[in-house]
Amino acid sequence: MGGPRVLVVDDSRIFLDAAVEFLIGQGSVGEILTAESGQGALMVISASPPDLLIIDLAMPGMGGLELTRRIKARWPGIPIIVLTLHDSPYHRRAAFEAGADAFVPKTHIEYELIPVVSRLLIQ
Amino acid sequence: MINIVLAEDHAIVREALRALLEEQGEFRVVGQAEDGREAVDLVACLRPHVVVMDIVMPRLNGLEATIRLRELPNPPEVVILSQHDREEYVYQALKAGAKGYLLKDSVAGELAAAIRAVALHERFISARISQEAVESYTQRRGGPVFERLTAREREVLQLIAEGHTNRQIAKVLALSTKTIEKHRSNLMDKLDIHDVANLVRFAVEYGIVRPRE
Repeated sequence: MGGPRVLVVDDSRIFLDAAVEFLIGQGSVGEILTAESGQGALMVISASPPDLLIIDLAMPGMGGLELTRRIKARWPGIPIIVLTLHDSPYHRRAAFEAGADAFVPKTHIEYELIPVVSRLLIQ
Repeated sequence: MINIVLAEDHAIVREALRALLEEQGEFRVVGQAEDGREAVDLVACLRPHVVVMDIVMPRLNGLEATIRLRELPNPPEVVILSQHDREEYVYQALKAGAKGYLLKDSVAGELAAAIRAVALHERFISARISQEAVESYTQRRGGPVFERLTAREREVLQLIAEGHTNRQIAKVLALSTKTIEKHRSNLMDKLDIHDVANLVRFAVEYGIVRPRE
């Protein structure tokens, strides 16, 4: 207990379970919260803002870009990492324009996610 | 439809690969393994067309698992995922029997093309790696020290480097502790390495285990 709180938002429950297992295994976060939709994420943040957000780009309903914009409008100090299956300049630019602090392709998670999480939590 | 088994020790990466493949509509992930031993068992049951295989996995690394898969009747083609772009690593993967070699940072853009190619029994190597360099390396290759070891000795080496005791290794391989001691002694003699710290360093250098944190 006492480490940073991280909220992971993804519409796939399988992915969320794998993300929790991965982040716990790496030992760099204190508490991991999950939400399966943009609306669910906003409710969690309103109740108790986390120290960091990890948001999937492609979600039904409110997508990751819209969620990122809304969070940055209300809670500009919470760093956001956008995750996506697709590593293209278009996706990267869209994520940063929405207000994301970092962009990690899902296929690079194994070696990119933890350094990015550590960097954003230190800043 | 091309049936695929994913072998990768991180569940989060397996899930990303599965999602990436299944959105293409022409691939079906029929099984997922978290180490090389499980991959060999799954493939024997599920008979996929293609296996997407990480190199660094506990208990049995992806190269050794590939060698075993290729010994099966009607074996699947294998695409190796690696972080290393040096031709020596590509050579080792091709020698083990893989048809595809993908750099992990190119997976999102190249995985589908690699699977389509190897499913047709064609070779696919990440565009960032020079084919000419790999061919040239393959032709001038003598016999690296690693290849002097038998398959069993390489398995024992990996398990020693992962920190297992002789007794634990004996249990994993279903052999006696005495037999493991003999393999251990033989492989140390062949490599001319006589302490565990240097064996670990050797295994890390050959990319079969991760550096310990």
